Amino acid sequence: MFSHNDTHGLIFNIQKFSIHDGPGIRTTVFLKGCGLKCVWCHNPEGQAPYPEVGFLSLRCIDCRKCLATCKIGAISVDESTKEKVIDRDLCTGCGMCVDACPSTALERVGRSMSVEEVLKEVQKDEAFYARSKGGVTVSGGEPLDQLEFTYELLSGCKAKGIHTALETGGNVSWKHLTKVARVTDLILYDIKHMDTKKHRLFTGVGNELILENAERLSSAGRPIIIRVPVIPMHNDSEENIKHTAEFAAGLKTVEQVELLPYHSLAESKYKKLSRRYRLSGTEPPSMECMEQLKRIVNSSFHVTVQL
Amino acid sequence: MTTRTQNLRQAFIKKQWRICPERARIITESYRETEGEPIALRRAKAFKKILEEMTIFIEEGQLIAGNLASQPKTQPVFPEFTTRVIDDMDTFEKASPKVLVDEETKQLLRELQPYWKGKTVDEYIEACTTQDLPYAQDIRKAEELNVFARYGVRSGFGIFAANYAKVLNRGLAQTISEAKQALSNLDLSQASEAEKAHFFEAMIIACNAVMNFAKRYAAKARKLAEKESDLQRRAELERIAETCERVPANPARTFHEALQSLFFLFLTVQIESNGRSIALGRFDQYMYPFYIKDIREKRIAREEALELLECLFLKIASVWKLRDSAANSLRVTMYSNVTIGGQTREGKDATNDMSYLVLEAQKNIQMIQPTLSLRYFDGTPQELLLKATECVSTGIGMPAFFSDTRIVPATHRSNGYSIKEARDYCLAGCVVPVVAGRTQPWLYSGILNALKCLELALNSGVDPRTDVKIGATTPDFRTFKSIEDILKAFRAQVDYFINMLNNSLEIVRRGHSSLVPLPFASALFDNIMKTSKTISEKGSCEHDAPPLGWMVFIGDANVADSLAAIKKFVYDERVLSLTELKDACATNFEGKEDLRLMLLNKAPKFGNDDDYVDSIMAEVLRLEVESWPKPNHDLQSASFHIPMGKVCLASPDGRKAGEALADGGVSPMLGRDKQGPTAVIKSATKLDPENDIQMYLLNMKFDPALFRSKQGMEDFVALIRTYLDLKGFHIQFNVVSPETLKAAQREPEKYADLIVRVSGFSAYFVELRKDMQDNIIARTTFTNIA
Repeated sequence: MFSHNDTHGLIFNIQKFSIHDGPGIRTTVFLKGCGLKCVWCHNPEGQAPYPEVGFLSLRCIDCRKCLATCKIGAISVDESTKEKVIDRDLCTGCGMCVDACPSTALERVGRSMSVEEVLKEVQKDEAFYARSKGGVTVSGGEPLDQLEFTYELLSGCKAKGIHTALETGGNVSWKHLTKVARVTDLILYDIKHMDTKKHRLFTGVGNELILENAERLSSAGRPIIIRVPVIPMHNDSEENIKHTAEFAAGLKTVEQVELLPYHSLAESKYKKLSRRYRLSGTEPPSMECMEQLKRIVNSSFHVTVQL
Repeated sequence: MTTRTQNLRQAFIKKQWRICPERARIITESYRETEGEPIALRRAKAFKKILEEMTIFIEEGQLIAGNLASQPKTQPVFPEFTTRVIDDMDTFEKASPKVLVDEETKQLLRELQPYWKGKTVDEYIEACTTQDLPYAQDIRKAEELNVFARYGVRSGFGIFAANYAKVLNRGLAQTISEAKQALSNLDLSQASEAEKAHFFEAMIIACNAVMNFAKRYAAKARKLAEKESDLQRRAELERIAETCERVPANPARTFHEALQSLFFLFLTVQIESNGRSIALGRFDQYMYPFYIKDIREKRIAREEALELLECLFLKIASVWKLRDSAANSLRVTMYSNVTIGGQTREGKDATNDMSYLVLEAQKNIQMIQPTLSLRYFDGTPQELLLKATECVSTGIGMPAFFSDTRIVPATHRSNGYSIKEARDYCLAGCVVPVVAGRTQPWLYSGILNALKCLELALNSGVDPRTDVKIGATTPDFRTFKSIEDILKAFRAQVDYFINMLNNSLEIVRRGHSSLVPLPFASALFDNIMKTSKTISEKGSCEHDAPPLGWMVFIGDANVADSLAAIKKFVYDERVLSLTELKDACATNFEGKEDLRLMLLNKAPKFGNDDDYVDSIMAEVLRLEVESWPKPNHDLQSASFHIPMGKVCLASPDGRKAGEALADGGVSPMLGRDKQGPTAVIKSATKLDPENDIQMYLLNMKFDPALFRSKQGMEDFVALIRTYLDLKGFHIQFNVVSPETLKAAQREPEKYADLIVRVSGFSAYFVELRKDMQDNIIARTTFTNIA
């Protein structure tokens, strides 16, 4: 049989003992590149569809090996602060500076890996999946933006008897979504806002396709978990959550709704990629707030709040 | 918890530890009276005198009687083993944990001390170490430089579980009859039999002494009952009196009698000897029949049984013995190990309601003793593991989990037990599988600084820190062509110290068997009547006598990480010469921070499921196991990773000079396991496919947040199950956030009862030394923020 295992994908993280991305103990493979531009995005590494270099200044020992390595001069030093500055327009993300950096101040954000390589890595924890009824989750970024790779990876997992989950924002063509859904046991489906105007304002696109795809997935009998990031001042109104719950209630294959409270841990990731974090200073929603939202959803669903 | 056990717990926690001079005073008087008599009889008579004369009390509200020393929370002194405790008395108040000594006690102990000059086990061993041994000077040097240590030399036999079940079921009077029978079978016309006769006579005296000791509590309880105005308490005291009149002399008939009988046995074994790590065996197995009979006959309700169990556990928590000051600060536990779960002798699930009760009691009392161990096999119910997880999630670090899948076949293979007998194993010490009443107790462990052995391998046996020759002469490092050559030299160093340990073990054993034989503890072992020898003379051994101690290797993960870095940079990529690397280590990477970080960050590290370094770790362990004489007793744990790290130079794994080593067993070096707990488990379980290493330890630390959801608990259980299915040996957990630990450092008074898992044992965090505290804070915490 023809093997597609040399298909390559751009991966920015493979997280083991991932226990919040579907049932049991899982490995989550994070793919790079996403069409949405959510202002609160907590995985900024997943946004750009090309490899990048991250810089964590706290770890830097100012050895300047990176400067000597970068052939195109994309790295310079701010002499007053000794801070390294990466010219993002010049940087090709080749990663040679990362190899030269002894202190891990520089890191690869995004590396090209074949399906086979990723399979080998995720299979390392097969014993844990078996015991915990866990498996592999492909997330991102938007994994469906790397359609072939995601399809081949999930097919490969299924062929090995590993439970598969896909986390998607759903803003993709139905043709692509349904192709991957065929090799996916569970879909973690993100719904960010029920009001398409606000959706467009906060993510750059309207929600029509997303909601339509969710309905079609459900009609096709695909098990779904609806995930809602709860972002203060953006989508945390009781009204929006109520609408989301009502929408979810209309989908017959939704097993569960998850409310994911905003946290500020992403801020350092923005800094690492020299990007501005637009939600700086935002406080996570209070316990009371989450409890209240949970109650709203609870009338029709098994709801979990991830803390 | 009931008000009773809450009050008992509070009363215990509020009190400070103190030294009690009473045992020392009585034994000195007894030894004076029996000079010239056979040693077994002298020991028995001294034991009898202590049990007859020591102060006894029954605590307000307690339902279990028995005390170790004259006041609650006091610790006795064992001058016949060592008088260092007396020398060090002034330091105890500043030690962690603090032990108070009042002036009167100090004066009394100092008055007694001269009598013991030249008579103690300690001095015997010291004398032999300075004169007799071919390696005597080497041991001294190695110990002074913290390369090698003998741990527990002066304590006496420990790491055993006596056959308590037999006495619970048949009574101690039965043991006396057996001893009398054995005595009458001796042919006393043979001069050689005289010693055996002394031993049996001593055993009879000792068993009688224990039975009479119980009767003293019966009388005490009766007296208290007479004066007691509270009717309920009066009834309790009368029940205590009846119980103590009955056991341990006679078979226990009820759960209460069984608990009381057990505590008298455990307590008096502790009073007889300075040894620690005296295990309580498969508690749920031998206690369950008593409990279920009471339940069926409606003598007791489940909640009452739980309360009694909590009373017993609080008594066990109060049984604590001093170490001399140096050791005191390192290992703050008694290892009073209680085992639950596992399989029956027939291979069926052994879990019963007592297993659950033990977990509940342990979770409720929140004490560092008893040490709780849970045996796991494929048939262990999920419910038991979830209950155990609840207990772990409180942060007390217990139970620790052990794999039958691994331990049963190993015990069968290397100790000569049948599979059925092997299925009956329990845990002693931190991680030692033994069969109660059968397995030869151990004397002490050698502790070997594995990273120092690597330094010695790279320096032809000379300690590069002090320029003193302390190891084997191995080839010059410039002749090494691969890490195999380095490993060969490393093996030679390990062999050298293992020889050292073996040579000294026999000396130490002779000291203990000739000066402090243990007639009472011996009476609780199965084969003693046949062999007519005490446990100090290996009287419990049926098969080839196993070694009396074992070697604990400290810092194996550092050795593996260092060798991986050498392999990668010196031999594979050739970006560095071994000379350059050695020089950089010798100067603590002075001016070469980039080199240090490269070694630290760019070479594979153990604990990340990376075969490149995991295979090297496996090789290091294999060499260590091979170096040890059969049967392969080998263990890697302990809390020596801090002092032993202090004497090591910077190492090729990027560790700076003096920093602590990896914290025990197959645990990765602090902060280097970056792939999460599943990767640590994978690394740890691929080390020993042939199941040769009998014992090792794995520490993990989890954020309490994991345990907030049912799914989190279930995932945690799945993690444990997978580890043990993959034949991991042992795993233990700390569940505490770094923030809590840091807060406890700042405000110790607020966190007096915060318990953490240290290394095969749990301890009160605020009682640990600062460097140990920092070390625990630095362990990788597995958390999961999506």
